[in-house]
Amino acid sequence: MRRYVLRRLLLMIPTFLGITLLTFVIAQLAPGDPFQLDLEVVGPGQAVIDLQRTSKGLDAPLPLQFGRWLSRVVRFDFGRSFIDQRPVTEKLGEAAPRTALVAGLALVLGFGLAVPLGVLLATRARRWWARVLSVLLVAAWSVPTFWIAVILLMLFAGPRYFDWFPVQGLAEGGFVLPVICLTWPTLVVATRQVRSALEDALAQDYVKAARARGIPERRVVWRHALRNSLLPVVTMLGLHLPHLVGGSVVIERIFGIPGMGLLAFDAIGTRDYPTVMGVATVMALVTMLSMLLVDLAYGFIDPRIRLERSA
Amino acid sequence: MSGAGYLSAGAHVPEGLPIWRPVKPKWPTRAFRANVRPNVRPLFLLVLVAASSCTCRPGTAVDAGPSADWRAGRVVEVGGAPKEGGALTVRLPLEPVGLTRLHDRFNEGTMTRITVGPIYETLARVRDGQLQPLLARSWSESDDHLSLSITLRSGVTFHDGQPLGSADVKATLDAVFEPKNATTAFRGNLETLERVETPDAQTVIIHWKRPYFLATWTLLGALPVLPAHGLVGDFDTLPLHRAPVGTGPFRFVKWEAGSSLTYARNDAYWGQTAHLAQVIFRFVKDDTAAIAAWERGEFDLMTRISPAAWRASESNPKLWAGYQRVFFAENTWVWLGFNQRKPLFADVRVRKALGLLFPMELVARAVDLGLEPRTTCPYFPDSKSCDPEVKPLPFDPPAAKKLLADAGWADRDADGVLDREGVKLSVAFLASAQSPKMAKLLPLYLDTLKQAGIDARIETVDVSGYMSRVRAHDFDAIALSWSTADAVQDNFQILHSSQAAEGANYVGYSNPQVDTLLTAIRAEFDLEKRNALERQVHRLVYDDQAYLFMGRRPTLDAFKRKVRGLKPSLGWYDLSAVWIAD
Repeated sequence: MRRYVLRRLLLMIPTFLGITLLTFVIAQLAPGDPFQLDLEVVGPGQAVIDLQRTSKGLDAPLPLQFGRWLSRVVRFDFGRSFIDQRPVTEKLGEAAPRTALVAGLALVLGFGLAVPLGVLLATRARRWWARVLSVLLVAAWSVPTFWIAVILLMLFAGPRYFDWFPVQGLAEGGFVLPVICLTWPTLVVATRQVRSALEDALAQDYVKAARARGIPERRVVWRHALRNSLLPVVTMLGLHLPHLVGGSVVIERIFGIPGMGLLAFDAIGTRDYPTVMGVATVMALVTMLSMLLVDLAYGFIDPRIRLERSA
Repeated sequence: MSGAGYLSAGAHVPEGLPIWRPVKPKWPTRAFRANVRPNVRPLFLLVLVAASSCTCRPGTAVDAGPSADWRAGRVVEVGGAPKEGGALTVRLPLEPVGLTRLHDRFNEGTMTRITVGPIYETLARVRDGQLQPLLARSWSESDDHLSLSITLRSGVTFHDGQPLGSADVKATLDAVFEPKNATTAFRGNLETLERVETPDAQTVIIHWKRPYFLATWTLLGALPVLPAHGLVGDFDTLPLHRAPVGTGPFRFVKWEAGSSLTYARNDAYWGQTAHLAQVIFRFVKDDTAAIAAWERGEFDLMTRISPAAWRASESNPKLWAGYQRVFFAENTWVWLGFNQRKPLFADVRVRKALGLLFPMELVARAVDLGLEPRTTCPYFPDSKSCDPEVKPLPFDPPAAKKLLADAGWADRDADGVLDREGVKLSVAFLASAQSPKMAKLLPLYLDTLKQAGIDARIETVDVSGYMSRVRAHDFDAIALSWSTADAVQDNFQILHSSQAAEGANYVGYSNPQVDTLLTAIRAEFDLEKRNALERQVHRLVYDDQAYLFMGRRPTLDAFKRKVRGLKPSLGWYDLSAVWIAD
């Protein structure tokens, strides 16, 4: 087991290099550069742009620039933002906790609610309310998050209807509405996933066998069937985690949360390469770690996977 | 900033709420009328007429509605003795990148001007188009305008307690003229500076290479004086840019990245101290959220209301009661420009035809919601720099067709597109993806162009790519806006033919007569005479259709009725005069 984890960790190095190299090249391929946005009017403009490019090392060949960037990153130095000149680590340090709070809550809530809801829908599939709920889930799935955000904002923040939450920021309960918005799609997708996986599992022979042995239905569902149907859900959770950590530009903008999504969005728009690369690095690390965690979690959920690996 | 000014890729009309429209009365169907008994019909009609006259203006018929001043955004001044203390919360739609006007990248126009304004001071302030003493107690100029001697006010201290001296003025100018610093906006205006002398702590003597009115004006009226001891080290990463230390009536307290900026009153101010104890700028980017917070009463001063939200507020009684609206046409002109380096657009007849095909009234109504006054002038229209006799081109497709025919453009192969010598008449409009205004406006324009037989299309790129293309002159047509925060300006950089190669004359306009006038303007220190020259430039430039002039961007703000002393001006509001009533 330890050897497996070690090998996986070592494999992360080339993966990381690949991801960052790709981001680096793509960012540089986009037309324009950060200094084009110094929208001054006067004559010496181009000369100063060239000076600035030189002083930031942008005139060097791309492989050299990437090499320099890598050599700094291994020392945990992401450089300074081209735009406001602050260290990128400082900017990431401000943005990441905000996103982590909102995304973390949304993840816990989303999957926490999806499992019981999915079980309920799978085991009571024939009830009329279960059918209505299924239809509603499909409808909910097709509602865009930004629309929910605007509606929530209108209903629950501001003087028009219920003045319960602040319009902007996370303080004073301000995290509630954005968490609802981010939970929404997770909940809908995960519920459907749990339901279909559980429905499949409940049709298996071993469930029939368990029932035949007289094991109580609740135990059959929660212990035998659900555990086996969680594998695809865990895979989904692993893929979902980096998505949430990346932040949602729309939600962050509407609710005024300067998190990772907005940071990345603004940085890309202004060609702020150091910040773009900083965000990409964090995202790459989180993605790889969550994939590793998912693989490890498989072993805990399904003993067969554990056995195969140790063999 | 005078003269040079800022440039924005036209991204200033955000999407917002739907426009409120009066409900049309529904006429009864024929079947309904047939069933109404004859003796009831006249009465019914009467009621209907009365009702329909009501439904046209539901707001006005039911109650008084907002006053005319409120509708027009005219500020009604309320007198009274100023009250000390209190905090003013201001909504800003963007976070400034840094708190200095020297650095080009931080100096992105309005947000920086607004936030730096209460902190830093200039040597002189602009009042009613004149310079009045501020940090400088007095100044005198030699007759040949080649030297300027400035005496600083004594007893002025920076917010950290250090006294202001001539060394600070010199250090600020040194920072501007350090070649590796991104300070070109000021460097351009002050390019005629030869050297600076500081004979003693209170005296600064400036020597100019040649007389230039805007250099003197910029040095006295626009250049903020930064502390010499804060300008040590790498200019890009100076702590001063994040935590400014100035001499102004407010001092910096804290900056919470992404959310707010707090200033407090400078109690040690050399002049009349401010009334407000605190000013808090809150950065709320999203329009929907900003409007919700505005309706909730979270802002004492709501800035940058979108035109759609401005119109929507007219049906919200809470906002009539609680706020005053501010409508103020800035010194900005939004334009479409055609690349006159290309033979097609070098022909003034073609440019005029394109101007005659621009559906200005439709755009003003549908895109600008009647909120962008039309302009024909590259100067501040509310000053004497513009000739009121210049009339805007009408929307006149037949006249445009005739001009194009005169220029040799005709549909010879009957494919619906004009051609000349086998070349089709086509225009590609380069549009920035971040400009919702252009996204609405260009399709309207394209429609009329296509009907006139011009093959027009839109090419959308993002802002950074847009500016690269503009600087490389790789375009047919672009849309941008020029703006300055001062009525005194010099359009040499955007109109003179020498600036077409590398400068800001992106459209490549060239007229020797205009060149001569622009050069003469630079050395003319007499305002009256300069204005007369500027009016000539206005006439020539509009007649040449150097730019397709559109509207002037307005300031659309609102402030709580208990806020007093706010006066809109080209340089934003002077917060030191503001106070909050009970």
